[in-house]
Amino acid sequence: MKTFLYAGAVLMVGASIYGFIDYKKSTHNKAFQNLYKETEAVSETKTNAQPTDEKTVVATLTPDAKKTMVVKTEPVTAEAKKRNNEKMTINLIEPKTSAEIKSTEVKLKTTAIKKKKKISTKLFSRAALDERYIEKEIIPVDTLKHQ
Amino acid sequence: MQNSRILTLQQSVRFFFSMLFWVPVAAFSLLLIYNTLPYFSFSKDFSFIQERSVLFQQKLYNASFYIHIFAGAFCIATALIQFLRFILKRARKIHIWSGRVYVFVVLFLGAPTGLYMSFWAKGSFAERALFMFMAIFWFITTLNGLTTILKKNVLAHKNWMIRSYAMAMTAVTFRVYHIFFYLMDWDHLHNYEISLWISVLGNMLIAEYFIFRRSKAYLKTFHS
Repeated sequence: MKTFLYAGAVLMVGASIYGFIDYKKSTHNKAFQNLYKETEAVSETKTNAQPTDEKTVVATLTPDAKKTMVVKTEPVTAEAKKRNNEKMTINLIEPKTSAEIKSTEVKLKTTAIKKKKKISTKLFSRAALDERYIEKEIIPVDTLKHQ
Repeated sequence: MQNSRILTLQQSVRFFFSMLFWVPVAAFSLLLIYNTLPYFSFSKDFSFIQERSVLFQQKLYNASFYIHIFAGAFCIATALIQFLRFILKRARKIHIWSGRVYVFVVLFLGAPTGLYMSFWAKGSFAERALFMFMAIFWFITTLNGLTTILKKNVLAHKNWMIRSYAMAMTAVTFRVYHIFFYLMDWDHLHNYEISLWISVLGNMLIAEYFIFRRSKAYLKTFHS
Protein backbone atom coordinates (compact mmCIF):
# COMPACT_ATOMS: atom_id res chain seq x y z
CA MET A 1 0.00 0.00 0.00
CA LYS A 2 2.81 2.35 0.88
CA THR A 3 4.40 1.95 -2.55
CA PHE A 4 1.07 2.96 -4.00
CA LEU A 5 1.05 6.17 -2.00
CA TYR A 6 4.69 6.90 -2.77
CA ALA A 7 3.96 6.48 -6.47
CA GLY A 8 1.20 9.09 -6.20
CA ALA A 9 3.47 11.48 -4.33
CA VAL A 10 6.25 10.99 -6.90
CA LEU A 11 3.76 11.78 -9.66
CA MET A 12 2.73 14.99 -7.92
CA VAL A 13 6.32 16.09 -7.39
CA GLY A 14 7.16 15.15 -10.97
CA ALA A 15 4.19 17.12 -12.29
CA SER A 16 5.21 20.21 -10.35
CA ILE A 17 8.86 19.99 -11.46
CA TYR A 18 7.99 19.30 -15.11
CA GLY A 19 5.35 22.01 -15.01
CA PHE A 20 7.74 24.54 -13.58
CA ILE A 21 10.52 23.72 -16.08
CA ASP A 22 8.13 23.78 -19.06
CA TYR A 23 6.57 26.99 -17.81
CA LYS A 24 9.97 28.65 -17.49
CA LYS A 25 10.86 27.54 -21.02
CA SER A 26 7.58 28.84 -22.41
CA THR A 27 7.94 32.28 -20.83
CA HIS A 28 10.66 33.09 -23.38
CA ASN A 29 8.36 32.12 -26.25
CA LYS A 30 6.37 35.01 -27.77
CA ALA A 31 3.40 32.81 -28.63
CA PHE A 32 3.03 31.89 -24.97
CA GLN A 33 3.31 35.48 -23.87
CA ASN A 34 0.28 36.33 -26.00
CA LEU A 35 -1.72 33.43 -24.66
CA TYR A 36 -5.30 34.44 -23.71
CA LYS A 37 -4.63 37.99 -25.00
CA GLU A 38 -7.01 37.57 -27.92
CA THR A 39 -9.87 36.49 -25.70
CA GLU A 40 -9.37 39.52 -23.49
CA ALA A 41 -9.81 41.76 -26.54
CA VAL A 42 -12.99 39.91 -27.52
CA SER A 43 -14.44 40.35 -24.06
CA GLU A 44 -13.67 44.07 -24.16
CA THR A 45 -15.51 44.59 -27.44
CA LYS A 46 -18.38 42.56 -26.07
CA THR A 47 -18.80 44.89 -23.13
CA ASN A 48 -18.78 47.90 -25.45
CA ALA A 49 -21.80 46.52 -27.26
CA GLN A 50 -23.96 46.58 -24.16
CA PRO A 51 -27.47 47.99 -24.43
CA THR A 52 -27.71 51.73 -24.03
CA ASP A 53 -30.55 54.16 -24.28
CA GLU A 54 -32.81 54.37 -27.27
CA LYS A 55 -34.43 57.65 -28.15
CA THR A 56 -37.95 57.52 -29.41
CA VAL A 57 -39.07 60.93 -30.41
CA VAL A 58 -42.75 61.67 -30.18
CA ALA A 59 -43.96 64.90 -31.66
CA THR A 60 -47.34 66.13 -30.58
CA LEU A 61 -49.22 68.62 -32.69
CA THR A 62 -51.91 70.66 -31.14
CA PRO A 63 -54.52 72.44 -33.22
CA ASP A 64 -52.68 75.66 -32.59
CA ALA A 65 -49.59 74.15 -34.24
CA LYS A 66 -47.79 74.11 -30.93
CA LYS A 67 -45.04 71.43 -31.10
CA THR A 68 -43.88 69.60 -28.04
CA MET A 69 -41.20 66.89 -28.00
CA VAL A 70 -41.36 63.93 -25.64
CA VAL A 71 -38.31 61.72 -25.29
CA LYS A 72 -38.79 58.17 -24.00
CA THR A 73 -35.89 55.91 -23.06
CA GLU A 74 -35.81 52.18 -23.83
CA PRO A 75 -32.80 49.79 -24.12
CA VAL A 76 -31.06 49.41 -27.47
CA THR A 77 -27.45 48.87 -28.59
CA ALA A 78 -24.97 51.70 -29.03
CA GLU A 79 -24.51 50.67 -32.65
CA ALA A 80 -28.19 50.97 -33.43
CA LYS A 81 -28.33 54.28 -31.63
CA LYS A 82 -25.56 55.66 -33.83
CA ARG A 83 -27.31 54.48 -36.97
CA ASN A 84 -30.60 55.93 -35.85
CA ASN A 85 -29.10 59.30 -35.10
CA GLU A 86 -27.81 59.56 -38.67
CA LYS A 87 -31.21 58.87 -40.23
CA MET A 88 -33.24 60.92 -37.81
CA THR A 89 -36.00 62.80 -39.59
CA ILE A 90 -39.18 64.13 -38.14
CA ASN A 91 -42.23 63.93 -40.33
CA LEU A 92 -44.96 65.92 -38.82
CA ILE A 93 -48.46 65.15 -39.89
CA GLU A 94 -50.54 68.19 -40.16
CA PRO A 95 -54.08 67.81 -38.89
CA LYS A 96 -56.70 68.35 -41.55
CA THR A 97 -58.95 70.27 -39.33
CA SER A 98 -58.34 71.42 -35.85
CA ALA A 99 -61.60 69.93 -34.65
CA GLU A 100 -60.91 66.52 -36.23
CA ILE A 101 -57.57 65.78 -34.63
CA LYS A 102 -56.56 67.29 -31.37
CA SER A 103 -53.05 65.90 -31.28
CA THR A 104 -50.93 63.57 -33.39
CA GLU A 105 -48.01 61.46 -32.22
CA VAL A 106 -45.37 60.54 -34.73
CA LYS A 107 -42.73 58.01 -33.90
CA LEU A 108 -39.51 57.96 -35.86
CA LYS A 109 -38.58 54.98 -37.99
CA THR A 110 -36.16 53.07 -35.82
CA THR A 111 -34.64 49.62 -35.98
CA ALA A 112 -33.50 48.39 -32.62
CA ILE A 113 -31.16 45.40 -32.28
CA LYS A 114 -31.64 43.64 -29.02
CA LYS A 115 -29.13 41.09 -27.79
CA LYS A 116 -31.00 38.27 -26.21
CA LYS A 117 -28.93 35.74 -24.27
CA LYS A 118 -30.01 32.21 -24.88
CA ILE A 119 -29.28 29.65 -22.17
CA SER A 120 -27.81 26.54 -23.72
CA THR A 121 -26.36 23.39 -22.18
CA LYS A 122 -23.16 24.25 -24.09
CA LEU A 123 -22.73 27.28 -21.84
CA PHE A 124 -21.86 24.85 -19.06
CA SER A 125 -18.18 25.09 -19.87
CA ARG A 126 -14.91 26.61 -18.70
CA ALA A 127 -14.41 28.14 -22.13
CA ALA A 128 -15.19 31.75 -22.99
CA LEU A 129 -18.91 32.16 -23.45
CA ASP A 130 -18.67 33.80 -26.83
CA GLU A 131 -21.03 35.43 -29.29
CA ARG A 132 -22.26 32.19 -30.79
CA TYR A 133 -24.66 31.77 -27.87
CA ILE A 134 -26.08 35.26 -28.22
CA GLU A 135 -29.14 35.42 -30.33
CA LYS A 136 -29.67 38.68 -32.20
CA GLU A 137 -33.21 39.79 -32.48
CA ILE A 138 -34.15 42.64 -34.86
CA ILE A 139 -37.18 44.58 -33.75
CA PRO A 140 -38.46 47.22 -36.17
CA VAL A 141 -40.14 50.06 -34.37
CA ASP A 142 -42.28 51.58 -37.04
CA THR A 143 -45.53 52.50 -35.47
CA LEU A 144 -47.71 55.46 -36.08
CA LYS A 145 -50.15 56.43 -33.42
CA HIS A 146 -53.14 58.58 -34.09
CA GLN A 147 -55.05 59.93 -31.23
CA MET B 1 -40.98 10.50 23.56
CA GLN B 2 -41.85 12.23 20.34
CA ASN B 3 -45.09 11.76 18.52
CA SER B 4 -44.78 9.44 15.51
CA ARG B 5 -46.48 12.03 13.31
CA ILE B 6 -43.88 14.63 14.25
CA LEU B 7 -41.13 12.11 13.49
CA THR B 8 -42.63 11.38 10.07
CA LEU B 9 -42.90 15.09 9.36
CA GLN B 10 -39.28 15.64 10.40
CA GLN B 11 -38.16 12.78 8.17
CA SER B 12 -40.07 14.08 5.17
CA VAL B 13 -38.72 17.62 5.69
CA ARG B 14 -35.17 16.20 5.92
CA PHE B 15 -35.79 14.16 2.76
CA PHE B 16 -37.11 17.23 0.95
CA PHE B 17 -34.05 19.31 1.84
CA SER B 18 -31.64 16.54 0.92
CA MET B 19 -33.37 16.27 -2.46
CA LEU B 20 -33.18 20.04 -2.85
CA PHE B 21 -29.43 19.66 -2.55
CA TRP B 22 -28.79 16.38 -4.37
CA VAL B 23 -31.07 16.76 -7.40
CA PRO B 24 -29.28 19.89 -8.78
CA VAL B 25 -25.90 18.41 -7.80
CA ALA B 26 -26.64 15.22 -9.74
CA ALA B 27 -28.16 17.09 -12.68
CA PHE B 28 -25.24 19.49 -13.05
CA SER B 29 -22.73 16.68 -12.59
CA LEU B 30 -24.36 14.67 -15.36
CA LEU B 31 -24.45 17.77 -17.57
CA LEU B 32 -20.73 18.26 -17.02
CA ILE B 33 -20.04 14.65 -17.99
CA TYR B 34 -22.30 15.01 -21.03
CA ASN B 35 -20.42 18.14 -22.14
CA THR B 36 -17.05 16.44 -21.60
CA LEU B 37 -17.82 13.52 -23.90
CA PRO B 38 -17.44 15.43 -27.23
CA TYR B 39 -13.81 16.24 -26.28
CA PHE B 40 -12.97 12.58 -26.74
CA SER B 41 -13.49 12.95 -30.48
CA PHE B 42 -10.01 14.60 -30.15
CA SER B 43 -11.17 17.36 -32.44
CA LYS B 44 -9.63 20.79 -31.90
CA ASP B 45 -12.85 22.59 -32.75
CA PHE B 46 -13.70 23.59 -29.19
CA SER B 47 -13.36 27.16 -27.98
CA PHE B 48 -11.55 25.95 -24.85
CA ILE B 49 -8.88 24.25 -27.01
CA GLN B 50 -8.78 27.04 -29.60
CA GLU B 51 -7.90 29.73 -27.08
CA ARG B 52 -5.09 27.47 -25.81
CA SER B 53 -3.97 26.28 -29.25
CA VAL B 54 -0.32 27.09 -28.47
CA LEU B 55 -0.43 24.97 -25.34
CA PHE B 56 -2.02 22.07 -27.14
CA GLN B 57 1.01 21.83 -29.40
CA GLN B 58 2.91 20.56 -26.38
CA LYS B 59 2.51 16.81 -26.21
CA LEU B 60 2.60 16.65 -22.42
CA TYR B 61 -0.03 19.37 -22.01
CA ASN B 62 -2.21 17.73 -24.64
CA ALA B 63 -2.00 14.36 -22.90
CA SER B 64 -2.52 15.95 -19.47
CA PHE B 65 -5.66 17.69 -20.67
CA TYR B 66 -7.33 14.53 -21.95
CA ILE B 67 -6.28 12.53 -18.89
CA HIS B 68 -7.54 15.31 -16.62
CA ILE B 69 -10.98 15.61 -18.22
CA PHE B 70 -11.36 11.84 -18.20
CA ALA B 71 -10.34 11.72 -14.53
CA GLY B 72 -12.61 14.63 -13.63
CA ALA B 73 -15.68 13.16 -15.31
CA PHE B 74 -14.95 9.74 -13.83
CA CYS B 75 -14.48 11.13 -10.31
CA ILE B 76 -17.69 13.12 -10.42
CA ALA B 77 -19.62 10.11 -11.67
CA THR B 78 -18.21 7.70 -9.06
CA ALA B 79 -18.54 10.23 -6.24
CA LEU B 80 -22.26 10.46 -6.92
CA ILE B 81 -22.56 6.74 -6.17
CA GLN B 82 -20.36 7.03 -3.08
CA PHE B 83 -22.72 9.26 -1.16
CA LEU B 84 -25.88 7.25 -1.88
CA ARG B 85 -27.22 5.99 1.45
CA PHE B 86 -28.66 2.89 -0.19
CA ILE B 87 -25.25 1.81 -1.49
CA LEU B 88 -23.51 2.71 1.77
CA LYS B 89 -25.87 0.49 3.75
CA ARG B 90 -26.89 -2.33 1.45
CA ALA B 91 -24.24 -2.64 -1.24
CA ARG B 92 -21.02 -1.90 0.59
CA LYS B 93 -18.93 -3.75 -2.01
CA ILE B 94 -19.97 -1.25 -4.68
CA HIS B 95 -18.94 1.57 -2.34
CA ILE B 96 -15.56 -0.03 -1.66
CA TRP B 97 -14.74 -0.73 -5.30
CA SER B 98 -15.92 2.58 -6.69
CA GLY B 99 -14.03 4.24 -3.83
CA ARG B 100 -10.85 2.45 -4.83
CA VAL B 101 -11.33 3.55 -8.41
CA TYR B 102 -12.00 7.15 -7.27
CA VAL B 103 -8.84 7.22 -5.13
CA PHE B 104 -6.73 5.71 -7.90
CA VAL B 105 -8.04 8.18 -10.49
CA VAL B 106 -7.49 11.20 -8.22
CA LEU B 107 -4.03 10.26 -6.95
CA PHE B 108 -2.56 9.03 -10.20
CA LEU B 109 -4.44 10.90 -12.91
CA GLY B 110 -6.59 13.86 -11.86
CA ALA B 111 -4.42 15.66 -9.33
CA PRO B 112 -0.98 15.33 -11.04
CA THR B 113 -2.33 16.39 -14.44
CA GLY B 114 -4.24 19.25 -12.82
CA LEU B 115 -1.08 20.39 -11.09
CA TYR B 116 0.90 20.28 -14.33
CA MET B 117 -1.74 22.24 -16.24
CA SER B 118 -2.14 24.83 -13.48
CA PHE B 119 1.09 26.54 -14.56
CA TRP B 120 -0.67 27.82 -17.67
CA ALA B 121 -4.09 28.46 -16.17
CA LYS B 122 -6.07 31.46 -17.32
CA GLY B 123 -5.92 34.54 -15.15
CA SER B 124 -3.27 36.18 -13.05
CA PHE B 125 -0.67 34.58 -10.77
CA ALA B 126 -3.30 34.30 -8.02
CA GLU B 127 -5.55 32.14 -10.19
CA ARG B 128 -2.63 29.90 -11.14
CA ALA B 129 -1.72 29.54 -7.50
CA LEU B 130 -5.35 28.70 -6.74
CA PHE B 131 -5.34 25.94 -9.37
CA MET B 132 -2.13 24.57 -7.84
CA PHE B 133 -3.68 24.68 -4.40
CA MET B 134 -6.75 22.86 -5.70
CA ALA B 135 -4.67 20.05 -7.18
CA ILE B 136 -2.58 19.64 -4.01
CA PHE B 137 -5.59 19.91 -1.68
CA TRP B 138 -7.52 17.38 -3.77
CA PHE B 139 -4.58 14.99 -3.58
CA ILE B 140 -4.07 15.41 0.19
CA THR B 141 -7.74 15.12 1.14
CA THR B 142 -8.18 11.98 -0.98
CA LEU B 143 -5.00 10.49 0.44
CA ASN B 144 -6.17 11.20 3.99
CA GLY B 145 -9.55 9.68 3.16
CA LEU B 146 -7.79 6.51 2.09
CA THR B 147 -5.39 6.26 5.03
CA THR B 148 -8.13 6.90 7.61
CA ILE B 149 -10.37 4.12 6.26
CA LEU B 150 -7.39 1.77 6.23
CA LYS B 151 -7.07 2.56 9.96
CA LYS B 152 -10.83 1.86 10.31
CA ASN B 153 -11.53 5.45 11.32
CA VAL B 154 -14.85 5.84 9.53
CA LEU B 155 -15.73 9.28 10.87
CA ALA B 156 -12.46 10.84 9.76
CA HIS B 157 -12.74 8.99 6.43
CA LYS B 158 -16.16 10.57 5.82
CA ASN B 159 -14.87 14.03 6.67
CA TRP B 160 -11.84 13.78 4.37
CA MET B 161 -13.94 12.38 1.56
CA ILE B 162 -16.43 15.23 1.87
CA ARG B 163 -13.50 17.64 1.46
CA SER B 164 -12.19 15.68 -1.51
CA TYR B 165 -15.60 15.64 -3.16
CA ALA B 166 -15.94 19.39 -2.57
CA MET B 167 -12.73 19.91 -4.53
CA ALA B 168 -13.90 17.67 -7.36
CA MET B 169 -17.18 19.57 -7.48
CA THR B 170 -15.47 22.93 -8.07
CA ALA B 171 -15.60 21.98 -11.76
CA VAL B 172 -19.39 21.92 -11.53
CA THR B 173 -19.95 24.94 -9.28
CA PHE B 174 -17.52 27.02 -11.33
CA ARG B 175 -19.69 26.52 -14.39
CA VAL B 176 -22.85 27.46 -12.52
CA TYR B 177 -21.34 30.75 -11.32
CA HIS B 178 -19.81 31.31 -14.76
CA ILE B 179 -23.24 31.18 -16.42
CA PHE B 180 -24.80 33.28 -13.69
CA PHE B 181 -22.26 36.10 -14.06
CA TYR B 182 -22.39 35.78 -17.83
CA LEU B 183 -26.13 36.47 -17.71
CA MET B 184 -25.33 39.47 -15.53
CA ASP B 185 -23.22 40.84 -18.42
CA TRP B 186 -19.86 40.54 -16.72
CA ASP B 187 -16.88 40.50 -19.04
CA HIS B 188 -15.33 37.09 -19.50
CA LEU B 189 -12.02 37.49 -17.67
CA HIS B 190 -13.52 38.97 -14.50
CA ASN B 191 -16.30 36.45 -14.65
CA TYR B 192 -13.76 33.63 -14.97
CA GLU B 193 -11.63 34.81 -12.06
CA ILE B 194 -14.46 35.53 -9.66
CA SER B 195 -16.32 32.31 -10.52
CA LEU B 196 -13.13 30.40 -9.82
CA TRP B 197 -12.54 31.96 -6.41
CA ILE B 198 -16.15 31.66 -5.33
CA SER B 199 -16.38 28.05 -6.45
CA VAL B 200 -13.24 26.98 -4.58
CA LEU B 201 -13.80 28.94 -1.38
CA GLY B 202 -17.55 28.37 -1.45
CA ASN B 203 -17.18 24.61 -1.84
CA MET B 204 -14.63 24.47 0.96
CA LEU B 205 -16.94 26.39 3.27
CA ILE B 206 -19.92 24.20 2.38
CA ALA B 207 -17.84 21.08 3.03
CA GLU B 208 -16.70 22.43 6.42
CA TYR B 209 -20.29 23.28 7.29
CA PHE B 210 -21.40 19.70 6.54
CA ILE B 211 -18.50 18.33 8.56
CA PHE B 212 -19.30 20.66 11.46
CA ARG B 213 -22.95 19.59 11.44
CA ARG B 214 -22.00 15.91 11.41
CA SER B 215 -19.43 16.40 14.16
CA LYS B 216 -21.96 18.25 16.30
CA ALA B 217 -24.35 15.32 16.09
CA TYR B 218 -21.49 12.94 16.86
CA LEU B 219 -20.25 14.97 19.86
CA LYS B 220 -23.78 15.12 21.27
CA THR B 221 -23.69 11.34 21.70
CA PHE B 222 -20.98 11.76 24.36
CA HIS B 223 -23.15 14.04 26.48
CA SER B 224 -26.29 11.93 26.38
